[in-house]
Amino acid sequence: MRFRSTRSSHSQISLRDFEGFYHQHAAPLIRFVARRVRPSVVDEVVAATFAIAWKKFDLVANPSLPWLYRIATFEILHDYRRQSREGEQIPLADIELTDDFPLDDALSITGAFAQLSQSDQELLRLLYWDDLRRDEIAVVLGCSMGTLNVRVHRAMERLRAFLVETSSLSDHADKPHHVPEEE
Amino acid sequence: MNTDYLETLLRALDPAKSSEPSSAAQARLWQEITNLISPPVSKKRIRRMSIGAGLLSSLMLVIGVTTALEPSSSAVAAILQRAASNDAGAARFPRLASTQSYHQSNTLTFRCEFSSPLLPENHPWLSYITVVREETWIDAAGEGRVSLQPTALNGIDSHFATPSDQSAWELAGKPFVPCATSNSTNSLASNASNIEVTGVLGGFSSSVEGYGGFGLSGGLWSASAIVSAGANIESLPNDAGRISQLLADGQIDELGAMSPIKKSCPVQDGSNVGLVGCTPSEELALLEKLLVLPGASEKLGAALYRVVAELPTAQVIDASSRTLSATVSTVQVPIAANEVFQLSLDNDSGSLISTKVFALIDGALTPIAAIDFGAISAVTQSNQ
Repeated sequence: MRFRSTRSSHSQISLRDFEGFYHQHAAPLIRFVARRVRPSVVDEVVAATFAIAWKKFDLVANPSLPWLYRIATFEILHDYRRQSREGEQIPLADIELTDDFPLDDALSITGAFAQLSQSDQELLRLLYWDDLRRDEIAVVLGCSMGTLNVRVHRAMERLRAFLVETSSLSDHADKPHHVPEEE
Repeated sequence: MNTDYLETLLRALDPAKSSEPSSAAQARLWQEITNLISPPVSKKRIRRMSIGAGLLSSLMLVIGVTTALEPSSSAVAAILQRAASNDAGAARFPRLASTQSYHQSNTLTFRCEFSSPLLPENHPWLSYITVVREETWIDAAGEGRVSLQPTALNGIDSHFATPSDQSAWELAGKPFVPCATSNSTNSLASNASNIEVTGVLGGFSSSVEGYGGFGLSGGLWSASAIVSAGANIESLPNDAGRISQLLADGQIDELGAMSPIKKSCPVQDGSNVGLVGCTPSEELALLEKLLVLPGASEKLGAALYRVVAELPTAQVIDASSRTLSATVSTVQVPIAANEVFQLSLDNDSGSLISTKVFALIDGALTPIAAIDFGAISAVTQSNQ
């Protein structure tokens, strides 16, 4: 089943090609969006992202996951704007407590992360949750590698500062994480 | 500080680290995406794939049509200004008691063009006219619900555009007709295998998923978003001049929400890139989208008249049609090389009666999307 094409510029790209692209990247994109918006609008944002990707598919040299993330970022901001919100506070995952991850550390990192600015949080999400390389993150954020490295360094410094302010994690984390705390 | 430990903790915070979207969920999402990227109504933009001689003849036809419809532009201005004045003086939304809601029932009509591998080579595309009843109820707190009720497949209203389309569909074994509102509960959304569907198409739909109609962004918006947009519309100023200024300054978005500051136009046609505010043609495109929202015909009618009056290509089609209850004027303005926008208004009250978009299809101006607006009334919640 297909509908009549509304665009004359995509005659050489079939929906089947795009469907392959979709299946290649749908799962990571859904997770990317789920980290940033409430569950009820995840599908909506993902669908809008792919709809825009389709429009621009033949205009970019290398349609890639970071390119999709960049489109999704705008769609997420659009959703925030529609809902008149600054940004979502998606509940962080419950950290599985072990000897290596004691409760105090879990609480401290959660609290420190929440104190970061939205842009710092986003940078750390891209780095540690979305598992992008730094050159890919530069694509998503539309900045140079040099700028990105500076921003990552500063975001981590601010995170450490909040940790020191709010917790005993710094004492613990100075040690190798596989070393259990002394009794 | 031990960076490895910090990084490990950060990774452990990932709220989506263990969630893997199911293949069924991905398939359902792909269905939504295909509706978005190839919408049934063509999102009012049916582009013919054949350009050149066909487009040239189409353009010539538009020129011929608009020339033939010549009343002067001053006649347009007079009709629209009078309507804006009458509409601005008319009663606004009725006052609500605590147990009441605003109610509006609109009829949305759109032309859907689709194909199927089962269709023969000499008739690969079918055209279907889908008619949907849109009813909204919004209470004083801005909450409520929306119902989109598509009419039955080949029912009184929805039908194939031509007998030829219907015959081709029947000869092909009645493949799936994807041209109506649907959601995950009525089985049509998942029916992508072109099996025979002869029953009611759509059925009651509590959300707008799958609706690719006039201004609804291919079903992107949820029912709750429509309801909240209705509350946004109700919150707009009553002064049409103030609304016009807000539109011109980009301060009303596609869901009717107001911004306190001037912004770039939410609907851009490329003529105003990077600048604050909307051009008149962008304002018209934005109003087209807004008018599908609950209550928008009441709040935005006069603003629409002001915008169309500013467009030098606007023409009066008819200034004195009579219906049972009103004398109606119809004004038309080209919005693309092969498309025109039409509005019909009540001469006495200034109320907006309907809007339509026509496209040149096979050499003829053909309606591809329309909204017939119902009046706003206050109903008790038990009547919802």
